[in-house]
Amino acid sequence: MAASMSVSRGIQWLGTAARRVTPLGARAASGLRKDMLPGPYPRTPEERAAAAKKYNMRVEDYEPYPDDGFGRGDYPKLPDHSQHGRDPWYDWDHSELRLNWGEPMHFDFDIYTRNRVDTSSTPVSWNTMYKCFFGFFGFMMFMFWLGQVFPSYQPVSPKQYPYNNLYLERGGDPNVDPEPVIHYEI
Amino acid sequence: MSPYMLLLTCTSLLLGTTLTLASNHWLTAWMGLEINTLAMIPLMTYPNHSRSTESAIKYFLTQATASMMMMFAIIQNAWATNQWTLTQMSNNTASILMTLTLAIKLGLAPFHFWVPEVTQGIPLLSGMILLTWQKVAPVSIMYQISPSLNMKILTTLAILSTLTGGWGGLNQTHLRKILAYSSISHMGWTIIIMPINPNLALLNLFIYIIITTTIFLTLNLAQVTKIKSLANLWNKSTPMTMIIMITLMSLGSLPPLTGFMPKWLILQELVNNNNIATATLMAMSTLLNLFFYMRIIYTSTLTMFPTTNNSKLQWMYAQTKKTTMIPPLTVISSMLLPLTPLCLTLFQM
Amino acid sequence: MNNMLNTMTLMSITTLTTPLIINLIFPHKTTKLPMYYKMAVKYAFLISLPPLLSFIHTGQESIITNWKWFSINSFNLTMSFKLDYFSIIFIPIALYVTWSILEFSQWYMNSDPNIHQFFKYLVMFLLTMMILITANNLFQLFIGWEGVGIMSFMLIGWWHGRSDANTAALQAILYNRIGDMGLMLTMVWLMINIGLWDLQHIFMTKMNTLALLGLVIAATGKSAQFGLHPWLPSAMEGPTPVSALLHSSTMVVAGVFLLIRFYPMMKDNNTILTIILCMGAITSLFAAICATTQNDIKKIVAFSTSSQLGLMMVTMGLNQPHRTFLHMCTHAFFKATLFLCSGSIIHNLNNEQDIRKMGGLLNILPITSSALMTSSLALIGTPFLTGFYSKDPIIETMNMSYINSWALTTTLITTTLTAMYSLRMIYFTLLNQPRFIPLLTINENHPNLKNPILRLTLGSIFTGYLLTMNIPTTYMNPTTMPPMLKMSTLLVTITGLLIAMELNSLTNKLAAPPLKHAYNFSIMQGYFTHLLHRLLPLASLQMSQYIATMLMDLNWYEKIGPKNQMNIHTTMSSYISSTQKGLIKTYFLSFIISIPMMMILAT
Repeated sequence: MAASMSVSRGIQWLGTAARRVTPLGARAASGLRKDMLPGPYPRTPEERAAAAKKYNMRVEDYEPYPDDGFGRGDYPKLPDHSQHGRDPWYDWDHSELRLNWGEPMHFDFDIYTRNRVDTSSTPVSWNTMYKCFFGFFGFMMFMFWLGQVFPSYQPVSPKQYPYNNLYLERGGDPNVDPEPVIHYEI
Repeated sequence: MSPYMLLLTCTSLLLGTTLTLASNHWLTAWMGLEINTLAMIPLMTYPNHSRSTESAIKYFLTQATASMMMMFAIIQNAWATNQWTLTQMSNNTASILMTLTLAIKLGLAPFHFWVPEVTQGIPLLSGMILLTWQKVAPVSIMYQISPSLNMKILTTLAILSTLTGGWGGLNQTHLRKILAYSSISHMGWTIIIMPINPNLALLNLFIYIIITTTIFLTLNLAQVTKIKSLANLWNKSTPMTMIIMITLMSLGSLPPLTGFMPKWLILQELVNNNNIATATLMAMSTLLNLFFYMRIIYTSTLTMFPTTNNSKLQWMYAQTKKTTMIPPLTVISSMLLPLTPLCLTLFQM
Repeated sequence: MNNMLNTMTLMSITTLTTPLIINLIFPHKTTKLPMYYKMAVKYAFLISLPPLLSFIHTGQESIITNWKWFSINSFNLTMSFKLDYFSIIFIPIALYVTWSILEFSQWYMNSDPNIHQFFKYLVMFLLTMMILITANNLFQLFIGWEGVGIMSFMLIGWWHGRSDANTAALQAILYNRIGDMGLMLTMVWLMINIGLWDLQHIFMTKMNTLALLGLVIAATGKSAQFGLHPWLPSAMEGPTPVSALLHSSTMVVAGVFLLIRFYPMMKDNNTILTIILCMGAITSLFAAICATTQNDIKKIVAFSTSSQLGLMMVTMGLNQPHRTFLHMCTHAFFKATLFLCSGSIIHNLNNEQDIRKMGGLLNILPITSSALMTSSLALIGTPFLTGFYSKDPIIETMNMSYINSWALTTTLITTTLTAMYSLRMIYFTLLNQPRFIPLLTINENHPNLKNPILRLTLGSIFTGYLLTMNIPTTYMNPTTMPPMLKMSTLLVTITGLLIAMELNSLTNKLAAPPLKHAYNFSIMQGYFTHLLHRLLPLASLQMSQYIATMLMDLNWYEKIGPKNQMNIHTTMSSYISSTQKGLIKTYFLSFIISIPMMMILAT
């Protein structure tokens, strides 16, 4: 009897824990109540206020996705910031997700979890990084192309040709023997 | 109805069909059909009230039209070919006309309108006879003239019937109507195979008759005509919920139940004859049937609806109705699949 | 003699497996295992010397084929070892370097509870590298190739409690995976078009540019060439002995070795040679630029490896595989020394890796300091140290060749930069006043620390001389050239040293870096990881997210699938029900319309 009691307690506790773990506004298909799902796109200010309240946001922060027929409804459009960039020392309710209880999650939360895309700020601005890197790469590619067009070659001696260095072809006198070239002296 | 009258009617019903089955002459075959129709009408109106009378009239009118057209086809054939032999339906016009006539009698789409409405108005057992025994005579005629049938017309009728049967049944809450639409769709399966392999058509009809009979007997035991009332079936007789589930799944042709066997063979035969598109369409449209069978199963077996139960638990008391036929029929309608080779041999006449 | 060559080479490979087998049989007797591993590698090295001597004496090469694995139709796969110029010379070198590294690890990893496992991984790493070097067919080579990748993954992630180490290990395996695609491409191409994986047969055929490009991609991944290079500096998260082994004689040279193996196929393909040349040049320049400003001592050495690998690639692009191989061999010595020295410094300074917090070690760690300086000088190509014998001919050949002029220019710039970052490292770690916490017990008395460093330093002084004097030369040295060309290497190196002196003195002047953008570019490793490690995952994840949520979930699983079905069937169903009005009129209407229509259509 006691064992069965404890088992049923355990199951109850598991159920409660599971409900507690699923954060409000998560996009998971399971475990969501109907009123947690995104509603229709808010058109009037009152609807906006209601939607903002539903997602635990202030009205001025709340900005829905454009009503483009992709079924996002009144889901708030949150900035594209990764969870990695959040304060690691703050006591988050869900420390693995760096998320507080009831805090709205990004629509594409899966992209921005801690071990995926990182959008934390960098010491150098994105634009500079972009320009520098691709500038470097482009410059190198251009110069390689240029180097291919004008290759380098250092001749160490004048080019030599057969028939006494093309003596006749260069207009030498056929009757006179060309001067022999001697590279040594005795 | 007096017992003498009931005896007379039932005998005529049996003998009319038997006459059609046994005859080799068009006139006697037609006569058998007529006797059959006329014997059916009193049975339909047995608990006499306005709904059943209306149904009987509708039935009579359609069948009379069909008989008249059939007679016309017979005479046309006799006139053109100068003989009355049943199997010699060699005149083209007569053949087409005969096909359409039989389609009216079997209730194939687009001549299916009478089937649900007539079935809806009559008692369950009469409905059972209407949807099972009454199909035997027309199918037997069709079987005998199958070499001269027009394939295009039959295929069109068959596909239309399966689709109509599926779609029509989706929107129904009355069991008799659902079974009528199921009949329409099964008749489609029967005649799609008729020009290719008539023996399979007979097998299909045979198994359809068995399964439908089981369901009707079960429903008759509980006296329910609506899906909603089935929710209290457990109260009447708990094992029946199980039987209904298995039998309906068999009717929806789920393997490994009996109902799977004819569909399987028919699809195989169609594919072997390069009718893959037709086979696919037939199989897909049968899913619709399966869907509304599942709805019945869901209500009767899989859930317990939050309704108050006003009656006592009836399964504790002795039944007044006889249930002799239900167990063997259930067994046949669910466990015949391993005997497929035997059935095939039986019908390869 | 032939028997000795085959037997002893195989024996030296087999010797390496003995401690592994001992560990299998007695899994719990682990106290003496590290020493067994070290001894096994030492004996393997000694056993591998006679084949080397015999090769130097007679120049005999050999192929051992002894066991048929399987055959599919006409495709045979045998276990086969190729003992040729490259493998016979490289095996003793790899064993010698690993022997020293293992001895060093006994000191460096002394406090690690799983030290025997660490040794096991190192030896397996070496073993897979040996398989790769001696493989005579692509399947065996692939086993070695993948084995090296897996073992590097295990070793880089050795301190798996740190997320950085895990990330680095993952980076290594993922970048290598991209390279593996290239190798597989080549293997599949060969399987389809030639139907053979045996090297001696492949060399008799011809491979087209696509297949060779596969090899180049493979080498790019394994040897950390530009584009697939970020894993190499990240791999510094592993223990220092791992870095030493990884960067000297295994793993990173595997890619270069693959190209050396396949040079008979590549030597006539100008497109591939140009690609290799340009890739090597850009890698060496990029890595040298990054090395110039790094503050982590191991990162500096790592980037110098990357830069030297680029130089090896450039040499491959010059169609000089034997020079590449020579540089690969000499590089193993001084790079291992550099790493062991930095390991000694790091360990003595209580795991401090930042060169800004070192300084003045010259007097405290004399052996390490002299080894560090010697190997750095060898690296920058000081005459008559090891690096000179391989590096100088490479640049001379470049000067004399008819090649891409920008590749030549970058290589000269790289040589300058090599001198710069080497001097910078020496300046900050060894010279001036100490900048570390004074409460450290610094010593280098332990023989396991001293001996390997000294042994490898000897190697970095003499190997170049020994190798060039003894192994059969398979290429022509240009004999005459103008003095300027002959001196160009030294000149650019000296220029680099002078610039480095000037830069180092600048650091004491408290001035802002004069070229802010260039400085940032260099210290942030060219922004490569910052840009591409964010852009590419974002792009692919966003696309996946759209496919998953929009295309699949919304459209297919909802709109087109169930909702569409529901619409069709409810419409049709209600249409059919609505015709059932209970009127006899409709029955006869259906007869009257359908029957004539069918009669007309069918007849």
